[in-house]
Amino acid sequence: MALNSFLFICLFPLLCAVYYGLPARWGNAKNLFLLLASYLIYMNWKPVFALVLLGITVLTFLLAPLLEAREGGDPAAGAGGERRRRRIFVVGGLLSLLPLLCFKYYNFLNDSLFALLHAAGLRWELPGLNWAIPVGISFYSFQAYAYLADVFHGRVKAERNPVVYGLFLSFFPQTMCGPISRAGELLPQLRARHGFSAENLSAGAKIWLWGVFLKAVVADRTGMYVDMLCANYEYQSGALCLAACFLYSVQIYADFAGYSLMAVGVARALGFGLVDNFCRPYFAQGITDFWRRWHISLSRWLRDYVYIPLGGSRCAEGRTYLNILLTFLVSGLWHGASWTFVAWGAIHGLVQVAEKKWKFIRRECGRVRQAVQVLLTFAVVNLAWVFFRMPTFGDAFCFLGRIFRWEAGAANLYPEKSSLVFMGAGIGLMLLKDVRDEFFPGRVPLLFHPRRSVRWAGCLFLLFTVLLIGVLDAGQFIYASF
Amino acid sequence: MKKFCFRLLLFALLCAGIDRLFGLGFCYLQDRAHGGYFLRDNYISRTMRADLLVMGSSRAVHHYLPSILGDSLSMECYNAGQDGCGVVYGYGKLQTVFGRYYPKVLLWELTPAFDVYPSDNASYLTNLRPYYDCPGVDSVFDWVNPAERWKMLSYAYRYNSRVLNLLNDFVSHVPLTSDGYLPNPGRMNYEPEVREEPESCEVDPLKLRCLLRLMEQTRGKMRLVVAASPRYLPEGFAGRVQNPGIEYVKGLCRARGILFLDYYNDSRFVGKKQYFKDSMHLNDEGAEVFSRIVASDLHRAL
Repeated sequence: MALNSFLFICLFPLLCAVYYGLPARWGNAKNLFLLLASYLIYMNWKPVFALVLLGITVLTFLLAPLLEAREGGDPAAGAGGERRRRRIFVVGGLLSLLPLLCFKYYNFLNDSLFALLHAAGLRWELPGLNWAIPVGISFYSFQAYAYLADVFHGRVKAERNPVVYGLFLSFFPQTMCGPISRAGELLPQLRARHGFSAENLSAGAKIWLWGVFLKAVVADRTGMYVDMLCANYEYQSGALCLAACFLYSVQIYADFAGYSLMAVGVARALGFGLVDNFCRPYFAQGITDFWRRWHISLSRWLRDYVYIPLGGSRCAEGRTYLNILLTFLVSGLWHGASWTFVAWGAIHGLVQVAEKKWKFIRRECGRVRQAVQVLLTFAVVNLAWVFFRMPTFGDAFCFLGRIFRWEAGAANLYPEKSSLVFMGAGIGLMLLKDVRDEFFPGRVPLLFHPRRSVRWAGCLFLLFTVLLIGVLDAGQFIYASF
Repeated sequence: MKKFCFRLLLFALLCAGIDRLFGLGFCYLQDRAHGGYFLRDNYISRTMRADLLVMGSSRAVHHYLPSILGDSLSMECYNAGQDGCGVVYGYGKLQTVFGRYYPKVLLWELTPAFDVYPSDNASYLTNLRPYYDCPGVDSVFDWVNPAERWKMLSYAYRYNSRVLNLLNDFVSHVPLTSDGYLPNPGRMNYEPEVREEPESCEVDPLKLRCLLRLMEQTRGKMRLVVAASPRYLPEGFAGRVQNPGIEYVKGLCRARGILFLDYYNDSRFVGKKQYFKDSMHLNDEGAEVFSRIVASDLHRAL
């Protein structure tokens, strides 16, 4: 059940009423209620998917206490105990990621291997799996692995309460598209008491509303046109292909940031703070900066559990660059089991290596240079999105070819005038807010203004904008398929 | 807590009041549309009395010239097709007509993508929402999604994505058309890729329900004719590509004694780019030629 669906909008007030109806001192009962609600909401997609979530939860819950280093250390255990702990961590980590590998990458590996062998004149193929990928598996698998790693490295203690741990992995605002929470951030909140807070409810509702605006008014409206152009790109002019490329950048940002804000808003309404996944990424100066602002929870995960274990930047220069590149290849593969996603990750990795090697991005510089850096970064990110959006390399190169050769279109598709106006209005409003947050933080806080009349006017404006010009019957979130 | 609940209630009442005001304003604008799609839609749902009615998607609205069909059959004819809409929309729209009168002939242009194969049926409701209060229309909303009944309580939702059209049609005094047909000027100047037709026919249960109900509803009251107009095929492809959706509906029509006119792979249009705007749509020249063929076939059959 998506967080902007009509069913969710009807059910959430009831869920809040029951949750806040339970006394704050009944912490475990409240968590149990949230756990049940989370599983019911998750099962709304396909009940059998919940078994995968439950399996990963049980496995990591049981293994985590075995990974804890004994306080004071047991001299008798010594190096043998440490080796045993490490072995359990490797096996546990692999097992927690196994469903993800099977569901998401089996067919990809099988097809790639077959293509490789076929090129060598051999024909050896395993049967393909026609399984649907459980929703959000990439997110909760990574969260579970991170928990095991944190326990192993002594960053957090193993959670002994199954309800709290179950909720940590299945908390409904974040199961579909994240954010990927750290155990150190979310577990203490789940153990704490949560009484009724009007401030949390109201702030959560406002954050959620802005997320719905981004999704319905900006992402889905632009998405309709982008889908139309991309489906027939071979008949579109270079200018329209460029427009599609730009609009896809807008769509994917609004779609994912919209979902993340909805998740943050819903969690906030219940008294929980989730990490904000986006920080105006298209104002980034350089790809390194971009990844500090885009999908922050995944960037953190990749840094902590891939880049640093590989050696991070505390090694030779060449090795550091290799580590960056490998981390971004993992990032590409995480997004999708296809070589186009790997290419997308490679582009980001290579540009970041180039930035580090030649240091052409400067933080301290004049405004003109800063603007040029922002524009160049945006251009690179746009170009990379082509590989993310197009199904094959052939399509991606053909699409880029139409842009760079500035070809004329045989059957150009233009949006309806009203759609163009709605798209412009949505993108304009989103840009205004991002400019304000980036350059004038704290100024003109429409939804959080000290005067109630302004706050209410802001909320009503957003609500009716969504109702009047939002796309209210659109499909899935883009990141839900990852 | 009490204070919060009171404010929440106040906010909800404010929302309901504003929504009602929007509703009053939108209804006023809709009733007084002087041009554009709203004038056409109002005419179809409230005034039209044509004996021969053409329904279907963009392939209906751009392919059938009522002037030619009407002259040939000596009947008043109106083209009530709607771009991007199929049988889900068509069934609902026809309820606004059948509530007032029954035409003598209903010509249904079949487009499998909109009338047979599964797709997001909720997207077809956008143009029907402003007419939700017309008798019989609500049933199709219930079939698509029972929650639509509750969503339709909001007037802002009813006019979702239509606000600019509404304002434009209120200000504009230029009717789109006098007989429903919308011209499709231009000529296909490229060779489109011949897309593979689906191998098997996956039928959308809701679309099938609407089609069967339509067949049932028209039986004994009017003559229903189902037609599949031509699409572009290069030379050498005539008759080689069968569409399973068309074959499926042809079977349904045969079982019920309904006339089916199949021009989908008609050799008279094969390789003739001058008749097409794109691979799925005839241009004005093609529509004129095609309408004469249909008129002649209908004349013989009726």
